[in-house]
Amino acid sequence: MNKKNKTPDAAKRRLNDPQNIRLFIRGFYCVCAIVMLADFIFSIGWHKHAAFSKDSGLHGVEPLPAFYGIFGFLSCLCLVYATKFMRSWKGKNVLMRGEDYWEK
Amino acid sequence: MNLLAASMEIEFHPATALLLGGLVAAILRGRFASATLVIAPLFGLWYVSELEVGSFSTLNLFGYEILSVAVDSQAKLFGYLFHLAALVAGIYSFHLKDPWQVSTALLYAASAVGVAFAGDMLSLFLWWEGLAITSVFQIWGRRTKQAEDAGFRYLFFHISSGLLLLAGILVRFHDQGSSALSLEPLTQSLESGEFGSLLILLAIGIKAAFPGLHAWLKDGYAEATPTGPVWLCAFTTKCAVCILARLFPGAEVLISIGAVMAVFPIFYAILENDLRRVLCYSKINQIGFMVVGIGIGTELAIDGALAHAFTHVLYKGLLFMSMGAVLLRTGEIRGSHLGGLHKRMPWTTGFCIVGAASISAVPLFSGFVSKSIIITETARNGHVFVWFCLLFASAGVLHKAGIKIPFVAFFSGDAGKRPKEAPFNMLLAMGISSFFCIFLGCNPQWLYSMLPNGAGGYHPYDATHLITQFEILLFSALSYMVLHLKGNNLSELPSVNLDVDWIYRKAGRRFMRAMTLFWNGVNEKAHAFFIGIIVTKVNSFTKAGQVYVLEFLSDPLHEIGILGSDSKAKTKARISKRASLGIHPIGLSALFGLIFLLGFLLLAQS
Repeated sequence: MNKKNKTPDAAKRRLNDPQNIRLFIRGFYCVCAIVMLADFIFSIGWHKHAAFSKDSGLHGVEPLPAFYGIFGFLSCLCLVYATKFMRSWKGKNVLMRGEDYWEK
Repeated sequence: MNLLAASMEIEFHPATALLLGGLVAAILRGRFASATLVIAPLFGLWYVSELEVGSFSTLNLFGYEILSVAVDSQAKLFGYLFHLAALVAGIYSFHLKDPWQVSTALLYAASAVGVAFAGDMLSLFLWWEGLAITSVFQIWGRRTKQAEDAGFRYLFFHISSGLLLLAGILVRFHDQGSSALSLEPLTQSLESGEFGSLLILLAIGIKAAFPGLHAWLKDGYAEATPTGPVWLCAFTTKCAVCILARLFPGAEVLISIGAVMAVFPIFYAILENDLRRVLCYSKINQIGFMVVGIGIGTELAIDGALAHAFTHVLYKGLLFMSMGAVLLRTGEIRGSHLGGLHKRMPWTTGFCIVGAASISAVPLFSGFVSKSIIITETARNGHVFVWFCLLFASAGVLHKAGIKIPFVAFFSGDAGKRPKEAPFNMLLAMGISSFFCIFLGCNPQWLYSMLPNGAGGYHPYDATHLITQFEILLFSALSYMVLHLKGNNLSELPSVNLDVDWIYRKAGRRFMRAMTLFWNGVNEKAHAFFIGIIVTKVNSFTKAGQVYVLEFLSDPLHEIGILGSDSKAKTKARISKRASLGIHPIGLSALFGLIFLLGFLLLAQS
């Protein structure tokens, strides 16, 4: 990532090597896929115990495979886009102010 | 029976070691003062381990018998926790050369232990106030104008909390007599709308950073010394959680409050640039989990809340320690000005990642074994919406504290800082905390066995839990990564964000300015009218009035012939001169006196 950085500690530059970063990202995708696969296999082959009791509306939904993954992914997307609007809306600052705001 | 009771009476207050340590540290200098930071918590820890559940201590104060100590398993749990936190924070602060800060830090820890072991409302109140006063020095210790102001704002909140607690106790005491002083649960009286209980809840709410009352936390902690938040984050809010669990278990209102607390700070944490403030917001979010647990009120949920308080002190302390080390070494804590520190501070980076994994509840780290109890209990008791909130908060906390903190500070782009690794004492403290984070994560039964109900046979490590937890964490991280690679992530900008503190820091100031303008304006106008016009007129009238009157009377009186035989003009000039000098012949004065007297008599008669 940082090609400009030519500090003496070259041994630790491997974390900044773009190739290693690509490798890391690919590995991460693989881990995500493995967990998702594990969820599917576990849901089909074994009994995944439901968090909610039978009279709750979520009883049948929550143990579905990938429920948690999709929820986590979507909620983080929503989170980031919501905070973008909290920061500025149509080019106007909503909650963000300059660093010297309180001293003014 | 008496013999048994006598044997259960303990000799020393559990906070004695820390109190003495604090007092001794105030006299000592240099390394000797620092040594108390380690010795006092060690003695205290040993003493707490010796205490038997059920023992107590009473004290006579102002003619009242105060139950100053009551040992139960919850008090012991917090006793261990506070001493452990004081020990770790003490090692972390070992390099401090400011005896004030060292001494007040130990007294602050002692106050927290006092709150945990308080046996009744009066002793609780005394330690509660101690907590407020001793903690503010961790903020003032930075000795900047901002820190001084933030300290006063912090103190305002905490003194208010103490006063509300006192008011609540007095209202209840007035209604119910001395039975109101016990620390029995007040949930029923709160739900029946009792005013005293409401005041007490509000007092605890300020310290627990309930939504709307939370601004002191992000305001004060972010201005504190590099070591300050490590102390601050361990005690104040955890005391509030401890007392909340004692007084309001199962209070339904807490479930909603906790859910709001868990969700709203996430947005702020993502917006925030100051990394310690990010931690403050994530702290409110974690306390939200505890408040929900207390609100649900089942034995397991309360245990979950207490366990989460325990693990939270360790990992949040660890995160604050790593950020304190960054602040100490680089003089910078703004995310926009940091990055790439992993090369220079590899140990700090490693410990920070352990803290981040714990707060994100990664399995095998401490957050997982406590947070999952609360989430499971929320589902089991059918709170669907709150469960979604907590799940959302779990995903969010990974995003902002789990990834953002280590990534922004230690990885991301190189910000050009070339600091040294943190001092050895700081690394040691972070190492101890990291050890406990992993140890408790791998051996939750150690933590569970200390809980009041032993966590009721809860097993965090079953396949469903593990898979679902990994799934939510990995896919939240995936969204962070996708957004980051696409350049859509929120970048850190040098800025501040408006929160409820705007009400008193801006709107309040404007209100005061407007009021000053208005009331000072009214004052000036009134001054100009009464002093400038009326008084001048009265003044000139008393000075010149008699001259005009006598000049006016001179001609008619001359006609009658009682003013001598001089010409009209000469008489007038004479009278005018006399009047302006205030010198009249005695006969004339007597005549006027007679006329006044007659007039007065006539008036009186009519």
